[in-house]
Amino acid sequence: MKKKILYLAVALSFSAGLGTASFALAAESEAPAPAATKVPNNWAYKPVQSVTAPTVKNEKWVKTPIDAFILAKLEEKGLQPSPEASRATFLRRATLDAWGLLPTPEEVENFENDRSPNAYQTVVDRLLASPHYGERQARSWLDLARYADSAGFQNDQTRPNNWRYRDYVIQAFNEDKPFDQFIREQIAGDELWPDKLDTKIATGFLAGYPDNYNSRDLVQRKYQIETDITDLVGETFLASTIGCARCHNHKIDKISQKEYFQLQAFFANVVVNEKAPLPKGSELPADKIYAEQQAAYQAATKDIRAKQKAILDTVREKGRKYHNERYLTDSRDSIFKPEKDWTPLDKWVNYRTNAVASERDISAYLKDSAENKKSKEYDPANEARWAEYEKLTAELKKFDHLRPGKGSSTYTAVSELGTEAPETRVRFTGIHEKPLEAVEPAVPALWSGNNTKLNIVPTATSTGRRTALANWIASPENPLTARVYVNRAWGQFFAKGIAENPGDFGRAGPKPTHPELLDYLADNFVKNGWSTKQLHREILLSNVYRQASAEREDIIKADPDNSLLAVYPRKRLEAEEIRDALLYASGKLDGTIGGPAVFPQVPSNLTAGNTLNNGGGGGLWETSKDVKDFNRRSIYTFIRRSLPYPLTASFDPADPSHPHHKRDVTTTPLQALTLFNSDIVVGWSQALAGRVISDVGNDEGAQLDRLYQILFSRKPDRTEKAALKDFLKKEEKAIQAKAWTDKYEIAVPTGLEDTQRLDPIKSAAFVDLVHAVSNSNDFAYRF
Amino acid sequence: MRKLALLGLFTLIAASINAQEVEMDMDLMQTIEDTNKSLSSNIALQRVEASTTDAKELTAMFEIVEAHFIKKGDAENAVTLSKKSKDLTIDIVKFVSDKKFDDASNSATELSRACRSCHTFYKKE
Amino acid sequence: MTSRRDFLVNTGLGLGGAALSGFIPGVGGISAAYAADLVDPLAPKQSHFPAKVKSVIWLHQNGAPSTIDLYDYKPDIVKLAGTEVPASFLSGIKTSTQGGVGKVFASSRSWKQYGESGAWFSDLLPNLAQHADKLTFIKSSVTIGATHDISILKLNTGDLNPGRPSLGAWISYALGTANPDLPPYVVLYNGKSEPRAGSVNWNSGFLPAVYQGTAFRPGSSPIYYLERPELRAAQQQRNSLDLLKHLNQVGSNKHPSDTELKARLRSYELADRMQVSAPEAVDLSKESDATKDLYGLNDTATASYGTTLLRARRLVERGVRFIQVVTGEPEGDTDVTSWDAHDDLDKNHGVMAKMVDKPIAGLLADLKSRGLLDSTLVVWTSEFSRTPWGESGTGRDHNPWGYTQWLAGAGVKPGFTYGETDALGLQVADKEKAVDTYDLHATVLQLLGLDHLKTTYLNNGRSERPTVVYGKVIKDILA
Repeated sequence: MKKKILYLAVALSFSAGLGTASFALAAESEAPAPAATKVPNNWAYKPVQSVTAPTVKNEKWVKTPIDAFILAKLEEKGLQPSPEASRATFLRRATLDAWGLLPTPEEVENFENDRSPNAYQTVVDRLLASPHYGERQARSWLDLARYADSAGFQNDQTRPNNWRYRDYVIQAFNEDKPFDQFIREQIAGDELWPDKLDTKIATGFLAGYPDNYNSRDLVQRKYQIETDITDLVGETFLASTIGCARCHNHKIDKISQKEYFQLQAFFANVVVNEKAPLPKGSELPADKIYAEQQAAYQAATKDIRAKQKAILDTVREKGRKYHNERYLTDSRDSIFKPEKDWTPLDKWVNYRTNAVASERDISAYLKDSAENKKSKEYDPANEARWAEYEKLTAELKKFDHLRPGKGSSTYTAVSELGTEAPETRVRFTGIHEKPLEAVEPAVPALWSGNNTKLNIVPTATSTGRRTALANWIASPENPLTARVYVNRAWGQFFAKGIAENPGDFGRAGPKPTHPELLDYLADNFVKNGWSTKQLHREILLSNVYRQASAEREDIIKADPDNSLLAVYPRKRLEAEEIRDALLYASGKLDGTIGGPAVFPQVPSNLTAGNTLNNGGGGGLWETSKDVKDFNRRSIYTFIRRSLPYPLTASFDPADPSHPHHKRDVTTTPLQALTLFNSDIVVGWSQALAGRVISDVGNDEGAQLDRLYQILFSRKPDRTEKAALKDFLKKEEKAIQAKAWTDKYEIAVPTGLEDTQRLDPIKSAAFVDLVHAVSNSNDFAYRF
Repeated sequence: MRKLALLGLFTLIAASINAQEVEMDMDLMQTIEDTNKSLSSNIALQRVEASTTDAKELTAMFEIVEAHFIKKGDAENAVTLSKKSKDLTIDIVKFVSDKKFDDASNSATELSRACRSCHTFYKKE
Repeated sequence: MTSRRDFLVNTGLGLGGAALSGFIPGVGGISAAYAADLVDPLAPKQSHFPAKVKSVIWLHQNGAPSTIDLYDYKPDIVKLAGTEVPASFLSGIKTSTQGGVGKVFASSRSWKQYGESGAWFSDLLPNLAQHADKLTFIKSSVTIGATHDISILKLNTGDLNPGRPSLGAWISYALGTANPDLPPYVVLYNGKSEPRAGSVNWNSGFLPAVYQGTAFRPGSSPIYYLERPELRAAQQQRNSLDLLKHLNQVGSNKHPSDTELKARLRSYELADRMQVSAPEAVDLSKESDATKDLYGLNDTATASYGTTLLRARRLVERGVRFIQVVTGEPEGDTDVTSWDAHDDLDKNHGVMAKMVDKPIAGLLADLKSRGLLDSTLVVWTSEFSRTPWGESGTGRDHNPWGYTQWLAGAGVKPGFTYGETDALGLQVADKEKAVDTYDLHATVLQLLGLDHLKTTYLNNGRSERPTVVYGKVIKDILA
């Protein structure tokens, strides 16, 4: 209650001129609520302050300045931080957070035995130096980038080269690319470094919007694409729900509809080439494999395809015209206008028309003109052509097994169609058919104070608008960028951001619980050259991060949300972590980094009845023929927007239709069914059982120790061990009982070189034990 | 402490009403909303003292709102609704002191509805 | 994090006394220190008063259908078509920043009255119209109409921000499960992917995680991994689950208040039972051809939605308390994926109405003939509706100011209409009769035997209820 009164008093004091009185009141009111009431509504837009760590009573506890900020608030409330977690718990926690994988028992042992004062630094530096680090950190960024390997909408066609952007992100984290550079490359890499391939691939960030290649209204499509990109940039870098201002002035934050469209204008001239040919000499090993496979397929099907082309050539002109006439009026106006009269918008529409034109348009025309006697296009001569064409299609299908299952010889990048952009107009209630006044690019005053107009310098081929925007976002003076980013980082390690909603720094989002800490981190981040690794390092080495997660009665009473972090917040592993950690524990993880997205096994009923194809001649999910692909890290699993990968789908993965700011945690029986029943997971349990037996031989006690060390970084305690042994006895009986039935098949450990000395019943019981243990909370959570 | 704070509140309100123009800003509305939520919780938990405090605070705040709309003019609906809200908070104080928590709960819900109707008309873009 | 103390208080355990007698009745009295560990959070609980309804089927029409083109017949729309909306209709509406709202748009509908009640239906719903006398219309629905995501969240949780429990979660919490072998709260949808507004719409918010909804996929295999692997015998499975339970119990002793860890422990037990109960519950092969036809399973336009509704009926039969059905899209190649007809309303609503009309009519007929309509409540609902003025020439914009939803089944007056909109179907005619999300929720809870003011949960020291601080039971529609 005190909080409310204070709030009101402060609010009124501004209008009534009683500031002193109200603050005196603040000082007198007792025990303010933990949420920082003094933080003003517009906290996020004030310049980042250079803050020094507060003084605390228990100075010994402070290992990094972070600790002082956290401890100061705890001391204010008379609370103690939690004791340090054990080294093993710490390492499991840190390895999951840094790599998304488990530490090996050897890594734990080394760490536990490292008595040097730098033991923690050594281990954290080791984690940050591994390429696994980038594989884990990239995933969070891809959540924001609404990354997928397909286009979405009805046909959900494959985007065969999007993985190049994904690999760019992984590499950016691994080489600790300064975040300001990372911003510039992703927003304007093509303008700033037109000669570099990787900065062009970086613009795949913008290009990842869900797209409908069949859209007949290209002017609307353009608007939808710009809308997606504007919202993406606003949400991701600036934690603003800017999208709300598209249809009306923002109801909560002071952003007008006009300002929204001014921001959208930065992207008015953007086009995406999804099929840019890879420059010679830049091919990766995966590209060479693709090229070979593609060449083999091309060679084998050369004649058929030539014949098909010859048939389509007979109707090509008519078919193309027919297809183009089916666009909506304003698109048609552009398409049928002579090129010399093209406005920038006409250029855009024509670019798009060509980009989505395909042989299928012509074959569809041929079909219609051959079969549909009511159609004006009907031509009896086409009947035979269509029959022949269909025959050839069937023949071509026989060579499908030769098609490359993944990869491409292209890349996707953003560019512009000249130095002049199509005009951007405010849209009445956000509807594209209702244009109002035209606007020029500018950033909302809420974010930028009075400097809303940026200095835009065109390049030779481009408006330069995105460069100006990228430079503004990546500027050390921008109050939002660094704060938003460090807040996200904090949320990754402590389950919640300092400002709880990482996607909304506006008035609707909760205010930061530790605003000074947020500023300290943001300020330091910029001073350290926007280094993500240094930021993560400081967090990982803080005493806050080292705390035990065991529940505390006093904290539950005093701070039930744990917003003061007196206890380390335990968290369920994310979808990818669950799969990767199990795969890793089983010893089967294929460590290959990067490359085309892969298709691991799926339940047989996944695609049953699904008639859609991927746009390249295959189905939506064609399980890889290469079993190595089954064991790659989850970040490499193909993301089909309409068909989430079933094994991880129930564990709250990112939804790629929008920037995904925070992974939810749901707990459902479907998750239990997945982990307990999936034959894939059972297969990993068999492999893990085999690994344990190979490691320590047949001694039961040693096996149990080893298993626990692999999965939980600790040995089982006495009660657990007793339960495990008791289980083995019972389970052996149950398996023996099966011998009396007709079907006597058992799951035994796999991957063993010597299976001679294996007791099948004992070892099958051990597989079941491994399986149950890897389903437990101790596995699925990091404590 | 509570008394002191309340006293401060009333002083401020008096001061602000006497001042030129009471700012009807989001913060005041937010405070009303928060207090209303707290009130509803306190009635459900049958906490006499806390419910009374909340209701009285609301009475004071609706006085500000009412004054604001009277001064603004051409807002008959808003004046009526803020007066109705204020009266409801007074009813609630009575109900609570008589331990009629069901009636208090109903009035609190009625109060929330009044807030909503008012917002339908006067919410700023 | 929810503390054990909160949990005990809220289940009526641990703390007795007059002050808390208002909480869910029927389970008070026990005060064991670890009661929360012993007591099944999904155990059936007594309602506040005798329930009229055992199960609710919540038919969320995703994307906001235009109810002035379905139920709310407004001849004036045709009369005024092509003219600006008269200013008198717009008072109190903040539609946008600049310019007028656009011209009145009439879609190409024809209208007829049906049944003894004489309810109006457009030609888009010929099958449902046959059940006119089973429906209770609320023609004065209102809500907050910002964007779909936000208003959908409000429709399901009452709040515009994620974090509050959904209605189904409140019901699971207040009543427990009527069938321990299935989740009490199931979500069905017939789109290709999960409804875009996502799991926040069936989450448990601050309630313990065990009360959240469980989403079944559409199509022939609604639940992956439902079968035990072939190599694992039943006894092996039992032993394994016992071990798992034991390990999880030992583990959660360090976190006695952690309801999420407990929910995960429980989820394995439920999953185990679901292996037996769920395949049967979702398997439609035993349904007669006549029944399948009734739900439109014989037509691609209606088959996918019909399948979800037939599944919904099977779940009702098996005691599932709350079945949230979200409309998706029909099978086959169509651009239409929701009711969101900003342009080409005729085409959009043609597809969507066709998709739902026969299946919903089939559901009502089927529930009736099986005697289930006496204990089931069907709610036809949407996040908002659409304006009488046109958008893009052939579509309609969002309308949260006055629209139609309906209920059918136990406890409500059949063939009855509550409230009305103005002559253009834009705003509620009588603001006193406006029915907001909270009022609908309060009414549904009432029918389930729950007083929404007393269905409470203590979260961070604050008593929370499903209707936030609002909600008024619509007494006039109760039978």
